[in-house]
This record gives sequence, C-alpha cells and structure tokens, in this order.
Amino acid sequence: MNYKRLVVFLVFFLLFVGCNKPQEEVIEQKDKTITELSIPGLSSFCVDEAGEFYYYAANGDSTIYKCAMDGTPVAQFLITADVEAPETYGYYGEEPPLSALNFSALCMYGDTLYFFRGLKSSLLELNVTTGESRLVATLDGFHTVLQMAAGEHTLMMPCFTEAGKQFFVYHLDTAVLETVPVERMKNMTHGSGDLYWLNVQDEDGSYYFQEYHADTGKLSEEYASNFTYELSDLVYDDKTDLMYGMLYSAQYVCFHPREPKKVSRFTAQPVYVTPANPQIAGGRLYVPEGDTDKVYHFDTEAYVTWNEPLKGYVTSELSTTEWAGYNIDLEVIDWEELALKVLAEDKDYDFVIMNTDMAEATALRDAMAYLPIPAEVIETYWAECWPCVKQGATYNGDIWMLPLEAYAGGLVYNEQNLNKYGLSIENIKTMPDLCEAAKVLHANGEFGWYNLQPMQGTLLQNYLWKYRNEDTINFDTKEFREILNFLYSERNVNEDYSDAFYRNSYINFGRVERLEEEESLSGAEREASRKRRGAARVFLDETGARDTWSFEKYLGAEGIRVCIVPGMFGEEETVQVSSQFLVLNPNSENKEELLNFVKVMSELYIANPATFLSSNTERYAQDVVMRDVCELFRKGEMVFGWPDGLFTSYYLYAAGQVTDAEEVIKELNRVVNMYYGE
Amino acid sequence: MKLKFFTKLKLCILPAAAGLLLFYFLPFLKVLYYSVLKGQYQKEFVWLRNYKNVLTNQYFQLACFNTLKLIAICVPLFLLLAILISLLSLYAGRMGRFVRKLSILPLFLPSVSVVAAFLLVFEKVESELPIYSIFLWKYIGMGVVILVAAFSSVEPEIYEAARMDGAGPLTMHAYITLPVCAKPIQFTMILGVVYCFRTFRESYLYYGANYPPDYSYTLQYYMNNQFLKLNYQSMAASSVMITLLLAGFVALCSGRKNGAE
Repeated sequence: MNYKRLVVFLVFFLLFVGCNKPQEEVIEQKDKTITELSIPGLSSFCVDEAGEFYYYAANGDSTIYKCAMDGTPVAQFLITADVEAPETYGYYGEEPPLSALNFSALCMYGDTLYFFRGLKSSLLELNVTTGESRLVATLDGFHTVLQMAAGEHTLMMPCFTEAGKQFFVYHLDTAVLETVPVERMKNMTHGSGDLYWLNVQDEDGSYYFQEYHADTGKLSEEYASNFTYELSDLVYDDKTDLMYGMLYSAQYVCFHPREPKKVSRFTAQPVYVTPANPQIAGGRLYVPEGDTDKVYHFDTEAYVTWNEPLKGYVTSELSTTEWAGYNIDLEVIDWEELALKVLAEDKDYDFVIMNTDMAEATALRDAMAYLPIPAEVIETYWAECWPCVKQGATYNGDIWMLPLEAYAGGLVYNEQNLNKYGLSIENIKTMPDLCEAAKVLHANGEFGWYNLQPMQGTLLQNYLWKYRNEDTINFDTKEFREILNFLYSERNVNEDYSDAFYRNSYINFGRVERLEEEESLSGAEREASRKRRGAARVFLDETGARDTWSFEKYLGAEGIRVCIVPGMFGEEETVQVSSQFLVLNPNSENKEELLNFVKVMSELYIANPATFLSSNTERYAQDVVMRDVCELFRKGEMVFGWPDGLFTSYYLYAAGQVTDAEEVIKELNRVVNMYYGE
Repeated sequence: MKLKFFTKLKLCILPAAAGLLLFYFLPFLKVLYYSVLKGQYQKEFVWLRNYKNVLTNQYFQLACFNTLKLIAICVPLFLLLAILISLLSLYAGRMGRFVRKLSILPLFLPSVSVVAAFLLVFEKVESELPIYSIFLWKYIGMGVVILVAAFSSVEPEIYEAARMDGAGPLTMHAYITLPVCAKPIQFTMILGVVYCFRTFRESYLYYGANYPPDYSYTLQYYMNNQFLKLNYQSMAASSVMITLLLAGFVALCSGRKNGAE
C-alpha cells in the first residue's frame, strides 16, 4: 500500500468536503424599539444634538415647546420677537393660512434654535438655555422655507421664491443672503461647522453627493452614488459619519456620504405611512405622522446592515418593476445557465425570479435550491396571502419562495346578455355548454365567438392538474378521450366560430361597441364607453399580463361577472393560480440583507393589493366583479408547469395536424411516463 | 545536479499532468462526491443509493441499451468505412486527395444546417436510421484523416518485399497494413466511441425535444434531463458509471494491443 498516495487523496477529498458548507442558519432580525409620542397640532420639530430633547411648534400659537424624549414637557418659550414686524404674506380672507402663521423649518445649532414664519418672512432664533429670542432677519420675498439647516455661522435653506425652488445660504455674521452655486441641487443637510452636504442630480440623471463649505464657498469633489431617485429627509450624523435619507415608498437608506455606493436600507412599520420629515439625532430617527399628530422614534441600529447591491436573475421577461427602493442588479438568464450556477453552488447572485407555471419552478423546489424564508420576516404579508398561494409556497415545512404577483384564470361574462337569450351561467358547467351558449349568442347577432386555442390548453391543464399527484398520468382513459373528441368535433364542425375577429383568447358573451362608434364620443362618454366595452369582453383563461387582467376596468360595470373556467365535465372546474415568485439563493453571501429585502418587498406588495390579491377582502372595493375575483382566488390552486414539448402531439391534434386520437394517446403516455420515470 | 535524460522528459510532462489534475481529475472527484449525496442542498451521505436508483431506472436502462446499440452498430461501420475510404483514396491519386478533403468537410458544418438537411431526406423515417446516418456522415472524415496518415507512414519497402513474394493487394493490407497500423486503428475506434456520445446535439436538434422517440433516447438525454431537473445526484452517478465503463473499455483495448505486441 502506498501511504503517500493515500494521504494525498485524503487531503484532496477533505478539501472538497470542506468546500461544501451545509445550509447556513437564518440570521435573526433584531427587535424593534419604537416609542410613540403624541403631539397635538404639530407643525414642525427638531431634536437637539445629544438626542435628549425635542423642540416643536404647534398650530395656532407662537410658542416653542421643549420636551424630553419620553414626551414629558420641560419648558415652553413664547416668541414675540417679530410681533412688530409687518406682514409680507398676501392672502385672501380675514385669517392667514396656518402654514404662513406657524413657525416652520425648525433647526438647531448648539443651544440656538432657528425657525421661520412665512407670514412676516421672519427668520428667528431662540437660545434654549436662556430663553432669549430675537428676529435675525426679514427675508423679503421668502414666503415658504421648506427646510432649514444650521451651521456655526450660516444657515442653509431651500425656499420657494418667484424663481421657483432655490437653495440659499444666510451668513449670520454679515447678514448676507446668497444662492448656492450648484445646478440641479435637490437636497441638503448640515455636516459640521459650516459644512453642508449637498445631494445633486447629474446631467445623466444619476445622483451624487458633494460637500459645500458655506463660509468659504468651496465645493469638494463629487461622490457618485447608485441612486436614481433623489433623497429626501437627509440627515447627517457627524459622530458616525453616516447619512440617512428616504428614497421613495418610505424606503430609508443609510450610508457614508463619501462612499454612497455602499448603502444599507432600513424601514419600520409605522414609518412608511408618514408624510412628513424625519429627523435623526443621537442615532435615533424621529418621524412625525401628519394625520394623527404623532412622533415615532426608533433605534436605527436595529435595522441597519451593510451590504452591496443585490444581484438577481430572472428566467423570463417580467412585469415586475418595483424593487422596494433597492438597487438591484437584474439579469435575464436561461434555465440551463442557471442550472449550472446551482450545480456550481454559485455565490454571485442573491435571488431568482420566475413563474410557478414554469416546469423549472418545480425543479428548483424539489432540489431544495432555496434559502427558506422565516415566517416572521414576512409575517404580515403571509397572513394576508391566499391559502392556495401559501400552500404552493410551502414545501417540506419551509416557505421556499416569496410570491410577488398572483394570476388566476377566469371567465368574465355579461350576465344580462346571457339572461336576454335565456342563458344562465348556472347551466354552463362544461366546456361543451360554453360553446353551445356562444353559438346561441352568435345566432342572435351577438358576439358569441370563441377560439379553440385557449380551450385546448385549459382542458389539458385541468386534466393534468387533476392527476398530478399520481405516479404518472394515464391518458388512455374515457375522460381524456372525451376531451379529444370534443376538440375534434369543434375543430371540424364549427370552423366559422374559430375564425372570429377577436382572436386573443376569449369568449365574448357581450355586445361590443365598435371602435368607430367610440370615436364619435368624447371625454367622459368615451371613457364610459371604453369601460363598458372592456367589461363586455369575456376572457377565457386570461392568466398573463397585468395590463389585460386589470380587474379595475371591470369595477362598477353593470352585469359583469367573473366565474371559473369550466372543465370538460361540470365537476372538474378548476381555477389555476400562478404566481411570479422570488427564490433566495442559499449560497448568497448577503443573507441578512436578502431577508431584509424580502421583508421590504413583502411590505411593498401588501401595500399594493392591485398587484397582489390578498385574501383580505376588506382591502377591495365592494363590487360584484371584485367579489367574483376574490372567489376565483379562494377556489384556486397553485399551478406548477410541465416542460415545453411534452404535449406537442396533443396540440398538433387540436390544430388538425395529427388526426389519429389513438396515436396522440400513445405518444402522450410515452413521453409523460418518460418524464415521470427517468 | 545533472538530471538524467528520462527524468527531464518526465518533468516535461508536469504541466500537462497538472492540467489534467486540475481540469479533469479534481472535477471528477467532485462528481464522485455528488454521486454519494442525497441532494445538492441536502448533504447527507447515502452510500451507493443513487447508483442503485440509476441502475434500476428503466429509462437509464433504455438509454444504456440505445447507446450501446449505437456504438455496436455505428463504430464498426465507422471504422470499416474509414479504412476502405482511406485505402481507396491512397490508390486514387488526385481524386483520392479530393475525396479526403471532402470527407472532412461535414465536421466544419454547423449542426443545425446538417440536421435541417437530414430532416428533409428522412422526413418519413421513424427509426434510428437518421441519427446513425448523421453520425457516419459527419465523423467519418476524421477517421479517414487519421488512417490515411497512418497508412502513409508504412514503409514502402515492406510492401515491395511482399509484392516480390507474390502477395496481392488484399493480402498485403490484411497482413501488413492493418497489423502495422493497429494502434492508429485502435485510436480511431476509441474516437468513434467518443463521437457516439457527441451525437446528442444532432439528435436533440433532429427531434427538437428533451423526450425523443424511445429508440433514440440515449444516455445523453437521460443525463441532460436530470441536469435540467436539477437532479444532480442521478446525473453524477450515471456520469461516474459511464466514465468507468469508458475507462475500462480503453484499458481493455490497450491491454489487448500490448499483449498482441
């Protein structure tokens, strides 16, 4: 025995074993620490540098209030410094608007609080230690100061003037007001001393950050970011050199302003409904909620995790455009390439998006090539999901995917038109019933056309779905022969119907106004007509594009109902729900951030029922169509696809290119057995 | 220190050996490792369960049968035709050179266009004949090139001596050319077996699906489908078995040759 060779072999073997770490445990989310404070009539507020007190102004009085962070009142200061100053704000009626009367744009530097009153264009200051206040300046022509930041000797303020929104610097020592010499400046925040951070849009639409020394007028180099949206609510914490801001959809980001390409995101439940500005001091974020006059604060450290932009693959073109404010590097990839990545246990991507009705989804699931999503990460969303979607997204006790958008195939019909010709949806339980109904409508001069193509797919899918849990699917059955007979008879006998004008997969039970009639209408009439016309269409097995399956266009339409697609026989009706979903790469190196992304995405989707239909019917308008659609989802089952090409002989038969039904049955049995058996 | 000549020669092999180790041996070890695991993401050691599953799978058996049938029919034909064309082309002078060049051309044609042409020719044929024909048509040129080079290297003096002893062309080739060129012929045969495994692309294009007729369902289909299903364990187990089978086949051929020598 050559021991040296054995040792070398063992070393290599162990190296390989070591290269394959087991699936890592999911990192737990930190607890939220949210305190709720209530401020009646809040108009503007700020927090001192140490994060010990907050100061605010309320509607209808000239007082500045000082409170401890738990909401305990500490002091209040009546401001009379601008009493003698003349009003500069023009308004209609006897009373000025509150926005002009109140103090706004509160900000602090050291012990000095600065604020502005639009009614008199007065810039005021208050020493919070001594309680002394004074009128700093009257800024002629300034009626709305959007925000203010205070430095050692300067104030910076974006204002609306006659020239539009402009950024100004006010020099406290010299009482000089000047504009900031930067084009396309979008936002700013105070840094330290008289240094301010500017958020500027580049000529190509991207955003960069720049330091501006307001006392000397010097500008630093530009720090390019990956942001394609301007940041609002910018706050800079000079102790940690961190900048906080809001992208959109209440997605907050945190980053070093000199390295703005490296960003972490954070969010909190009460934050995303707030319309007003948050402020950060001492590592805490304070957000006023306009409608209910509340201030929330929480420890940002609980949410912040550093990360690189996330990398995702999609296996087909997507309708998804929302990425929850994340900077996503997205690339289309074919399945073979992705399978290679899975095989190689690649770490270079974080997630994959595909559809459940693709055969590959099952492969991904069965191979357990996913990072399970802890239920608590998507708790709210999960509670709202349709049962069928939840069932489809669960495998071996794991939530293996995040369902993004769900589609259900349904049939939309005009109940009134059906009744007019003695037809009722109650009697249309089978596909032949449906065809007969269409023929009656057609015979009466209505649009009762149908297209065989979508029917054949529906019938096959229903059959497959019914026997999907068997070891294999047998096509040599009476039931399947009925389907083939139906296709054969409809193809040969009713050719007139299959040559209808509307070929885009629907049966039309309604009378459709012609386009030229609509052209003669205008404005609201045309809109109403368009709505009726859209509503009158009867779609069959419409499963795809969001723009066509927009239930909103059916809302309020008279007589329009939705039902499930009939099967070959009455008792076989099914509703197949498919979904676009997101799967996390178990080998991703950004697991923590990835789960945070999932959390944020789920919050985004739950906030938008138009793209994801949840089981919570209270979210929807009380409309017949909406109730019917909800019913579709309630009855539906999540569908997972079969590979392309497996059923070619069936479709060739339906198209008339193959005429021997026995040959079709034999071929289907062969390939499906092979698929299941190999 | 002065190295011996053969030691120097052995050192020259090092880069090739390193490449072989890095790009063949180590990946193969990983495949071996996958073949004894429960799943790519369930790294549970299951001993030879995957091998058992694969060996008892009726479609793996069907694929093996079809692949062996392809080898058993096509490789001898490939070899025979290559030898015949090579010998005839050597006798045919300029025409022979032209035939040799022509026979190599199919190797450079894109598979798609080859398959499109064969689809027209074999439109109604429902058997493995089209794939076998594509194999022979496409790869025979390579066999011809190798064998012509080998046959040309036989010393003319040997033929001259045989001719003086009254041997005819057939006798000369049977007793001189073939024994002398046994190694290149053996290499061509191995190449033919390898090409049998490479006909998957043409077959896939010809049938346009992952599930061809039963008679054309070969090991590549089986492994490709397992790959697409992310069932890497079955794929790895079948790969290991096929590799060992091929290695055994090559070793057997070499051994026999050495014995004959």
